[in-house]
Formats: sequence, structure tokens, C-alpha cells
Amino acid sequence: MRRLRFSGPTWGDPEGANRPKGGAAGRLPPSIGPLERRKRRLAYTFIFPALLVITALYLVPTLVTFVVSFEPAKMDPNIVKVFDPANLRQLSLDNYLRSFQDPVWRKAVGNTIWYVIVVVVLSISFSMVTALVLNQSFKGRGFLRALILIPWAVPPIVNGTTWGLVYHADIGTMNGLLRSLGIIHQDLLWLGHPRLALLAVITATVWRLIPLVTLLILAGLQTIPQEIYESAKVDGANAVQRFWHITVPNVRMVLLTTATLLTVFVTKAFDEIWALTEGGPSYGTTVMNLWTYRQAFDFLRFGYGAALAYILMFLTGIVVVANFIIRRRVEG
Amino acid sequence: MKGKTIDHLVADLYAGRISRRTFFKYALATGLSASSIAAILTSCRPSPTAAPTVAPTQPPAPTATPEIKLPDTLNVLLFSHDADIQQAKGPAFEAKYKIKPTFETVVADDHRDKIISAHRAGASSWDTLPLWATVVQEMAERGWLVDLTDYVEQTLLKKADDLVSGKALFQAAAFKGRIYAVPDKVGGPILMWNTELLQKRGLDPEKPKEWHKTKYSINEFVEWAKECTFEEGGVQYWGFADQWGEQVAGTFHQLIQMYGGDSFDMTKNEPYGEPIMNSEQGVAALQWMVDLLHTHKCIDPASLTYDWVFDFTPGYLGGRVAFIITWPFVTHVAQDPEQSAIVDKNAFAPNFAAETSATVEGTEYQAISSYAPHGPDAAWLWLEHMSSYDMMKLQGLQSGWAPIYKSLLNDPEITKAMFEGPVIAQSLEYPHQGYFTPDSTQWDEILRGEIHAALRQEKKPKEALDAAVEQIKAMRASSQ
Repeated sequence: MRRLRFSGPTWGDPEGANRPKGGAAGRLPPSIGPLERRKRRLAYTFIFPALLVITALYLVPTLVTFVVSFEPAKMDPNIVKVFDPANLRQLSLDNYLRSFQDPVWRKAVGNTIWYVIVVVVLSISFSMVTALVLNQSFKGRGFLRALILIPWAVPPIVNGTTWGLVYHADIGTMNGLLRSLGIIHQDLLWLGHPRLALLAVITATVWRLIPLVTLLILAGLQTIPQEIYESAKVDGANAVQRFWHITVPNVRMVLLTTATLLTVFVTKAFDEIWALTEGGPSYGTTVMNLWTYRQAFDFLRFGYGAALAYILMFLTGIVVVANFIIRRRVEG
Repeated sequence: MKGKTIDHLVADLYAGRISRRTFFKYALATGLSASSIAAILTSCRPSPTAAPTVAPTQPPAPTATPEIKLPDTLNVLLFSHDADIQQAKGPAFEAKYKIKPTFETVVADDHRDKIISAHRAGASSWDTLPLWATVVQEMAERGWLVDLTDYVEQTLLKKADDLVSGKALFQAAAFKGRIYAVPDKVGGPILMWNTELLQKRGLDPEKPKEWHKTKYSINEFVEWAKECTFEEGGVQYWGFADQWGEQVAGTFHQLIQMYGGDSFDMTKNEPYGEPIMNSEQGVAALQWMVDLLHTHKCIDPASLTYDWVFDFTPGYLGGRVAFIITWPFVTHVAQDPEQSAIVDKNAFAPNFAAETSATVEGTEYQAISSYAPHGPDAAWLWLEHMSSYDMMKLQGLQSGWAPIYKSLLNDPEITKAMFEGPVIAQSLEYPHQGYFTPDSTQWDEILRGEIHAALRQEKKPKEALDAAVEQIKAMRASSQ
């Protein structure tokens, strides 16, 4: 069956009259008038306070952290002195090179990749099902849509703590439930074994992400006109065929964007893991962001922690660029 | 300050050109006797009610003692868990020194991040800070704490005979021989047991009180724990439960000291110590833990996931666990009918013994930030005040936090409310090293990982401890 993609009119511009046409006719005029200049000045004036705040609170620390990432271990502990010429003379690539020899960091990279893949796949899969259900017409749909938002409204650290009680080996509800259903006869140590703990952490994260992903996919599903489904039905397509040949192609850009967003979010995961396991047992749930934090704030190796933060940023950047390239190809 | 005579220093002090602390430092350097310094400093106190810390030998004439400038306020950061009692010391401080303390609290989990981040940025909103021994070491190494040695020697150490553990009370607060913090409470984990459960299994509930004095009572403990591990009416009872998650190294430190060994030789490679936990005693300690879990099967296996006291106490307080080793304040929780099913059925004593009984240092401290916004002088007055005998008595009477003076821990008036006081004092007479070094968090992580590998039977105890020693040495080499 041919894949059907919806390419209807753009909202607010039904005929596409204002779309750039390309070529000379589509370009902006080479010079701008005084009114436009005033408008631009006003725009810059409005932007300036926000720019100032972002520079002070984001760009400056980012720059300082970058310099700190080259600090040797025995540097002056006062960050204010990081730009002292004497300190600057000691900067080196040692922290970046050390990451290659750090077995826990290597394990954290592996854990992160595994964690990201499983969380993204599970979140999107479960959310797709939920979104498809919520896209149907039935009584109480509005209430259910509101209800499903609750896990997303819970702060990640609270979510982690709550799941900690669920997994508690002695008084946890998970063991209680499984025991009462006769599935287990001895309590499981959910957070006591590295692999089981990672699974527990993944479950807690997926639980929190499902509402957001559901909403994103639901928004995509609602742009697909019902007429396409109806004509496919007339053509004899069954539900599975309609899903693979109509639904998926029409929401694939939403899925791609969601997958990228999730990858970035989950690569930076911290709160749930911190609340549940703090990276243990035996580094089984230590992900890159957690190890970065521990180096800087637990072990007070600020230079090495900063270097790991930059490596993490670089790797996350690769994901974003890859997404950009894939989008271009898919759209092309 | 170079070339100044004692007369110049005294003149500067009276004129307010130098602080009391600076005066103290240079006066000692120039050879002025400690008692004379104390006399001069006492004369500079802002309030006539300020009690001298040592008897002045030559009290200066009151008219010739202009007061040094002290701030009106002081910012005191406190742990949330003992904030009530520390704040209760505030009104007396304000009345005595005319300095109003402003209290801010921080939960234990957040406190290290909060303090470290601020000091890393070269600032502190607080004059005094609540600290654990590990953090004292880390901060002192980085120059973030005020050296209190001179103050402490002239005040608290004068009463060392009455301090719990004597001069050793300051051992964990010292870095490279200098003291950086003042203890505000003492303690270490002690043994607690459910007397009803023991009676039910035909065991004498009074006997564990003598275990700390009996060599190798640790073996009898295991037998009793096995006896108390059973299932009845669908309920699993455990002989023992402990926090072997994040805090497992603490349990190991207790055990290795019980077997007569040490985790670190603190006399070598000061202030870091030399890791020696892979000794015969260390292996015996870890083997005991492994056996308890896998051979005797008398410890709640979930202990591996219990990170803090309230993870494993629900089972004990619910009457399903016979023995625990934990912080003394739990004795009070066990007497609270809202939280406990074992009211009047909880007994406690110092830990059982192998070669000896042992525990780990659990003292908490207060210190002065190097960036104290109101300067160190007023901050020292607070530390001196909060650790004074009267305030410690108040602490003993009004809270479950143990005072730092032996006489108070055994004071009948205090033990009425703080019934565990004598046991705490007794417990700290046995070895109680916490092996606090500036890199404690790093080696603790390594040791924990290897102990867990042994507890999961992935490694033999000797292999695990050898690996821990090797990794700790490698970590230290890479940090240089």
C-alpha cells in the first residue's frame, strides 16, 4: 500500500501566499527604512535585559567552567582566582585525557547509552499506545487527558523518592503487590543488584516521561485528517495497515523531534537516579551526568568534573546535529 | 605585624586595629603566656557578663579596656536535625554578647553541596557552619576554615579530662595537627535489641548488655541472630538488620577495629593515612559480614539496599527484627508509641566484641568559615557559647543530642531524659576511629564497591580488600 502523507494548507496561510518563493523575488530588500530601523532598535532594547541575564547566569559560568576543565587537581580552590595568570599557566589537557583511563566514566558512558536507548524506545512505544487511545472519541476523554499529566507534573526528585518507596525491599509496595499476586515468595532487592537497579531506574524515568511524549504524539495525531483513514478503510486496509501506512508516516517528524528531545533530556538524567540509587550499586546506575556531578561536588575534583561536563555536552551536541541531518534527509 | 612587641599588640587590640584572633596568634608567637593573653582578651569582651574562659592572672583595670568592635548580628548555619536545640542556645548568647544570631537550617543531605559550592565561589553567607568530620578535613585542606587551635587549647582543652574521649574528641576535627572545628554533639552507633523477641525465642534479654566486655561475644551474637530468624504467620523475622548500602564502610570500620585492626594507618602519609584494610583483621571482618549474609542467613538481605537509618529501622520498630546497630537517638524513637511497636521493649548497650568492642566516630561539629561575613571573633564567641558546659547541659536536658562532657552524660538529672547517655560515653571508650581524611568520599566509594562485590560473592574478601587498597593508592596517585 502506498504511504499516504498529509500535506494540507498551512494554518493562517491557506493558499501558501506568504511562503518565501526563493530566488530574487523571495529575498529581503537590500536596505531598510528608518521605521524598520526604529523597530529593530526597539527589539534590541527589549532583548537586552534577557541577554544580560543569560550572559551573566549562563554564558559566564559556561566560560569559567571551560577554563576550569583544564585545571590541574591541585589548583587554587577559589574559583574567583581561576583567571590569575599564575593559574592560567598551569592549564592542560590532563582532565580530558584522564577520562579515557577512568573505568567508572567508561562504565557510565555504557550505562548512559543503554539507559537512553531503553528509555527513549519504551517512552515512545508506551506513549504512542496511550496517544492512540486518547485520540479516540469516548466519554471522559478530557478527564483522562488531564489525569495522564500528573506524572509529568511531579518533580523528578519527588518521582525518584516515591519510586524509592515503591521499591523498598521491606516496606515497598512493589514487593507487596507481587507477593499478594503470588508472583514472588521472597522479597526482591530491586535496588540491590546493578542490573535490577538500572531496570528500576528506567521504569521510574519512563513513568515520568510518558505524559509529555503522549501529549506531543497526540498533537501530531490530531493533525491527520480522518478522511485519510476513512478512504483507507474503504480501500480495505486493516487497523495495523492503517497504523503503519498512515499514522506512522504522518507523525514521523513528531516522533523524530520527540526522540531527539528525549535523548537530550535522558542523557542529562540525574534526579531520579540520585534519589533512587545515587549511582549504585557498584556503579550499576551511574550515568555520565551523575559521575560528572560526583567528581565535582562529592570528590571536589572540580577540574575533572568540568572536563566531563564538556565531554557530555559534546556528545549531546552530536545527537542534536545528527537529528538535524536526519530531519533534513527525511524532509528532503 | 613583623617586629611588633607585645605592648604594640595590646595597644592595637585595645584600639580595635586588630582582631582578638589576630592578637591571639601574634601574642603567642611573641611569647606572651597563654594566661596573660586570656586575661587581655577577657578584658576586651563587650559585655561585663562575659565569663572568662580561664582565670585571668593580671586583670586590667576596667577603665583602661575600651571594647573592641563586635557585630550586632551573626549568621549561624545549622543542621535541621538538631536546629531546635542549637537555636535554644541563642537567647542566652544574645543576652551575653549583645549579638543577635540569625539561624538558617540545612538538611543533612544538602548541606555539603551548599557549603562547598559557596566556598568554591569564594564566599559564605554564614559565619559558622555545621560539619561532619569528613567535611572538616576537605574544607580545612582547601583553606576554607578558620584555624581554631589557639582558641580551643585555651578553652575546651583545658577541660579535656571531662570531655568524652578526652583530647581525642578533636582528633577528627584536626588537619595537619591544627584544629578547625568544635564538637557540638558526640555519638557512635550502639547495639539495640528487642527484649520481647529475645524472650520469645528463649534468650536472656539482659545478656547482650555484657557483650561489649566479653571477648568474641560476636560469635554468640551470631547464634542469637540465627535463633531470631524465623517465619511465623506469614511474617518474616530477622535476627539482624543494618545499613549496608552506602554506609557499609562504616560497619566495616567497626568490625575491623573489633578484630584489633585498622582500615588506615593514620600515622603514615599524614593527613591521608595508609590504607591497610586488607590485613588479616580486615579479611576476618569482611568474612564475618559475608557469612552473616550467605552462610548464617540471619541478616535481612535487604540491608544491602538500606542507605540510612530510617531505611532499616521500620522493621526493628515494627518488632520484626531482633538486633540493630545504629545511632543512639533511635532509642528515643523506639519509645515513641506513634512510631514504634516496641515501646519499653528496646534495650541497648555498646556493641558486642571480637578482640574488643568498637564503634565509629559520629561526632558533629561547628566551625568558622574563612569567608565569615562578620569576621571570626563573634563567630568564635558563638562556638565557645554553644559548647559551654551550661549550654551542653541545656542540650542534654532538652534534646536527644549527647553533650560533649562526660560528667553531663552521667549526670542523673540529664540521664532522666537522655537515658542512653552513659552507654554513649561507655561506647566511645572503645576504639571508634572513623578514618576521616580529606579524600574520605573517594576512598569510601572504592571500599564500598569492593565490599559489595564480596557481599555479592563476586570476589573473596581478601581479593576485594586487596583491590580496594590498590585502587585507593591509584586514586591518590592520580590526584597528586
